[in-house]
Amino acid sequence: MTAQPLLTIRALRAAYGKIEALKGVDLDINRGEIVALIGANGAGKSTLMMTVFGKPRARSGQIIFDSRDITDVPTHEIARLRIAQSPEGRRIFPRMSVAENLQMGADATDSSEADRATALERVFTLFPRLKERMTQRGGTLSGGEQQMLAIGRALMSRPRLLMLDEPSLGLAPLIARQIFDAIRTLNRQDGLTVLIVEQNANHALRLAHRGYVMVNGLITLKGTGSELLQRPEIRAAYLEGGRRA
Amino acid sequence: MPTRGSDLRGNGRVNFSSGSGMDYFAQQLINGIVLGSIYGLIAIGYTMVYGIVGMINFAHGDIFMIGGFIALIAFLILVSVGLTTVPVILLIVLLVSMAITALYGWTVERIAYRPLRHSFRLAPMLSAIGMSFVLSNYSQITQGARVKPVPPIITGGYTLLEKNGFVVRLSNVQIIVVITTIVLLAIFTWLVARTRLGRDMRACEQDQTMAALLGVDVDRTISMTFVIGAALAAVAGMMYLLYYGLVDFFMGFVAGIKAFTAAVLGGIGSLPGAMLGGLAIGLIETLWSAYFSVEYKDVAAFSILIVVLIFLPTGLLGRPEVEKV
Repeated sequence: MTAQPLLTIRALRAAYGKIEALKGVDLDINRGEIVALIGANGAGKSTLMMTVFGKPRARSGQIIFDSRDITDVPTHEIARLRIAQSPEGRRIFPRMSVAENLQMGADATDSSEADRATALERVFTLFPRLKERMTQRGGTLSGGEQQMLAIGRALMSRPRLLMLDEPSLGLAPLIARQIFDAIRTLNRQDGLTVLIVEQNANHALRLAHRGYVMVNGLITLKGTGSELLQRPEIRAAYLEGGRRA
Repeated sequence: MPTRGSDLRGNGRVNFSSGSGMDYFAQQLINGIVLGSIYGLIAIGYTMVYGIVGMINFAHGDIFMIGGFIALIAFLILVSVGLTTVPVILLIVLLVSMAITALYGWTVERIAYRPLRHSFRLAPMLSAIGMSFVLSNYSQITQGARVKPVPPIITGGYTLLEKNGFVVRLSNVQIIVVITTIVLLAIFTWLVARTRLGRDMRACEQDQTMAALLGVDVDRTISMTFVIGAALAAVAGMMYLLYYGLVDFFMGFVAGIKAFTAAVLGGIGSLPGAMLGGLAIGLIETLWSAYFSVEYKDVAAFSILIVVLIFLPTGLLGRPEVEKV
């Protein structure tokens, strides 16, 4: 497979006030890949995802999406390039119905009615539960349903790059498995490119083609998913010793 | 607060020498609803802006005043070019006043609030107080300090009830004020609930960062919020002009504070709350003036606000601050 870069991040630095969260990150995502980003709490994984959208703005470095430099592009215009994110904390709109939340996702890109209908059908196929909840307010959903809604909303924009921040967080193992299966299906069937941040390194690395390990604002290791799974330091830090009971 | 000749007159223009009982009450109810409509239209602007950017736009009362002046100027121009069909005049004045006042609202946000959006929380509010002075002094200098009267534009009305010499009247102006308010509220509610702009506004109100992540231009959406709020305030300004037959540069102050009170009473951030609060303040003021004393109508309105806030700190329709995340 010839690697066609979709997202290229070079020497990216970002900070919240005086606290430097990213200290020169390099990362590549090729078309059709699932890339996992693993690391401990506070390593900067979520910040990296948000910095792609300019929240916060990069202090220095470069973010290139589909051969366009988006480092200084306004956040809402980045979204219109069809990069979608299911962010940390899910951030669904609590006082909007499920239907409106999904509509917000569809509004992110100019799409025809037919595109919307197709996207909605796909979301319902992946998460049939959402179909039953369409008129319910987002804030009244359970944690798992909110997670499904956040991912569904991201999919409604028919993204070229889907970024998922801890999609399995707080979910029952069965539902987490459903979500991972859904991601694999989207990748295989539609060639969707995915960047996934996970605490559950085992799941993420098995799902991903390639993975990056982040420590303290820096990428310390990279490799294919199976390579990383074999590394003793990964096993010690994120799989065996580090596994949360 | 100074009591001024140009205060919103809670008691309307009612002859209450011989009034008593239900007919008198009915008349006051009509007057209160009309006044409440005007307050409600202004209150929506406060509550919308608070909902989306979390600031009290203290210049909003003066935007209302500007709306009244623009309506007056538009009216005088139309009359001087020889237009005599009243419905046509009213419609043109309404649209012109809404459009130009909206431009004022947009400009105020652009020059006085947006640059301070990422500053400390009080900064835009202080800037708003400054803008309030700027706008009222601007119209004092350009239009003069004197009260501007206009001859009654809409005359006539209906006698609903006549008993023992007391007449319950519903004037045409009152009908127009209430109908205009209802129509505009219907359009506004539809806009917020059903259109893309409304959805974007609600998204920004709930989570600006997420809205931006979904392609919403947050700056533009906030601008539109000010534009819509100012347009509704312009309608209120025009209704005030029609109802009371005068405008002056200072009228935004008291009306603004009353409408702000209405917004807080209804639950700041809640759109139906703003309208309900407006009606409540209008009725309280009117009924208090009718049965007790005109001098203390403001005291009555603010006292009710205090009592409500003691028992319902978030207002009548406000939602609790704490939200499940």
